[in-house]
Amino acid sequence: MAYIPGTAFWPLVTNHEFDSTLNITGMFVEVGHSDFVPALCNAGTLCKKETQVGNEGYEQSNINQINLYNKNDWFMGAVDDETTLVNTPIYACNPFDVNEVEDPITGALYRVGANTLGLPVPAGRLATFTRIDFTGDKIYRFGEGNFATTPDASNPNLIISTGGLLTAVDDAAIAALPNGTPYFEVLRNGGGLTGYGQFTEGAYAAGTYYDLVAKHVVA
Amino acid sequence: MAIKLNSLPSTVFDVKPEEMSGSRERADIVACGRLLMAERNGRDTNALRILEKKPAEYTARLDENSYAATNENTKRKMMLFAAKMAAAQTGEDAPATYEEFQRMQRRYLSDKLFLKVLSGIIRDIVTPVLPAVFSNALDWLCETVSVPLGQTYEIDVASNDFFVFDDDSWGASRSKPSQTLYAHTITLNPRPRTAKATIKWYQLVGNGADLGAFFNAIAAGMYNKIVALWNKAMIAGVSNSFFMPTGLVFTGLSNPNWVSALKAVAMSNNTSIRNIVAFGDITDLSQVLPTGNVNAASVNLDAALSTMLGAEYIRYGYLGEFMGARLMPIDDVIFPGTQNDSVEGILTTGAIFFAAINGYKPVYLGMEDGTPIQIELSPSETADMTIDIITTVSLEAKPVMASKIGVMSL
Repeated sequence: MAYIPGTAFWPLVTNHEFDSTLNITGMFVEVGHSDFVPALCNAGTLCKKETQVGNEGYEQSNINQINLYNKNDWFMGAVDDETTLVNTPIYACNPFDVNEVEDPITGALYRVGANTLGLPVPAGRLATFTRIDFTGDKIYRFGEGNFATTPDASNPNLIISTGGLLTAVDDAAIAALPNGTPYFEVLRNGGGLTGYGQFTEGAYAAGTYYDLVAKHVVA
Repeated sequence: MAIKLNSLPSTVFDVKPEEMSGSRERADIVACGRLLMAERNGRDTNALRILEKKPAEYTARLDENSYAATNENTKRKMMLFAAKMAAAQTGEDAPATYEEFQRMQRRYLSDKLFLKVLSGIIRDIVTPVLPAVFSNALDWLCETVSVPLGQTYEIDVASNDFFVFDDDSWGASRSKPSQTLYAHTITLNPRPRTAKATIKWYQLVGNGADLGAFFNAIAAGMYNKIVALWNKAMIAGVSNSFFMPTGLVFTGLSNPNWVSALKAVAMSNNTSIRNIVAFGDITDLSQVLPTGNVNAASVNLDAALSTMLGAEYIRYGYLGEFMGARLMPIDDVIFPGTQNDSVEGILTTGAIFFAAINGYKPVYLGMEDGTPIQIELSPSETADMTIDIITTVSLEAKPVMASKIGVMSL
């Protein structure tokens, strides 16, 4: 996946102090191949677990070709259709590492810069993925780059579409989804959206954000 | 590459009160904890050496009775000290005996200060010993470097090229080709590796849990992971023609191949054959024996030559020197989970590495500062009476191979 400007993720209202399993370690991969292909992951990309990641250094012994896997580290694939994920955990890429840039010639990674807003994860790097709680009382902030189509007063709901991005739809579209389907709704007051604004990065405006309540369809 | 516990400086076990906020009592507890860890590790190593029919490596400082007594006393003192600190905060009377403490244990279970004091003691016990275990490993083939917290460690590999002199004529030197040198950069960005240990409180307090074994499991796991990362980097390096020129890759063990390998590695490192060392698993090094021809057929003369070569081969299973190079076995480590089953090793077998004694080590291992070794002791919010200790170390290993090495597959 290429870097998408404007992507960002921040858990605004969560239970993180008490939930040890909220954050897991994962490596973003392109799925749909015979093998997983590590790829760059934008902040806020919505993903699901694929298979366990091998424990580095223990992937293969010389004698018996046995492997040791990390018990709770996972290859993460982008969610394309959340209707298939009722009762399946969905995670957002939430990098905790410092900024790393890649030398295009040698492939060497350098830790440079102190900026932390919207950091992507370089391909092949393990990163933190935060589970989205769709019970209706957790709020998450996404950058405008995480939206395939941006929400408005008529289309305040977001479903997860190709590449782990969010697509805005109206209330009727949500009502037509199967029971238990996870989705998001922009914070709103009556008919108007209240959950949006501008990121502040340094002393500058740094793009639009939307604050989304994570919910699930109740038929 | 074995853990050289006897080389631990005695200062590790001589903890001064000044190091422990002026507390002699705390200093004694920490010193005993370190001693227990070293003893347990050393005894386990000796047991392995007995099975390998090798001399013991570690000289025990305590006999069995003293070890058991020290273990029990250290545990009791640790609990009583932490309880005393917690009780002082509230003006209560601290438990005078361990039995009294056990009757009051539920009061201390939920006391944050008690657990914080305990956490501090465990941190002090583990932190100084773990680096000693770590640094004794991979002496020959791994360069360990410190990486400042949150930074990148940059390894600038200077060019090993040299300029070619062209034949010239007077007055035409300016038309000769311009040559230059290029350096290459490799970066280390250590990443966190974590082991989370959970202790059931009742077993710790009431069942005489062996503290030495517990601390040893943390150290052994970290040592194991470091070796695994190094091995992965070595395999990645020797499998990549970027790091391993084809001229330094040899297939099959034979006398001509051996000498060719020595010569190539010596030339590549601007040194003599006598400065080349052959590293490998002992199962591979034991195959390094003279070969010869009988009646125009190539035969392996090991049956005759091994006895003629005598005590060294019979005693150690490999020749100390062979055709100009010294042989150095690499101690393998257990693949996790197989120690009571198939007993697998981690390290590459079926290959012998040739390296110059005066060269740069082929693999760099970066350890991030400021995360030295984190140990957290946090009470569980549930009623299951568990204590978690989370140890995180930040590491990355990469092949550099600035000094050329050779590899021979068997």
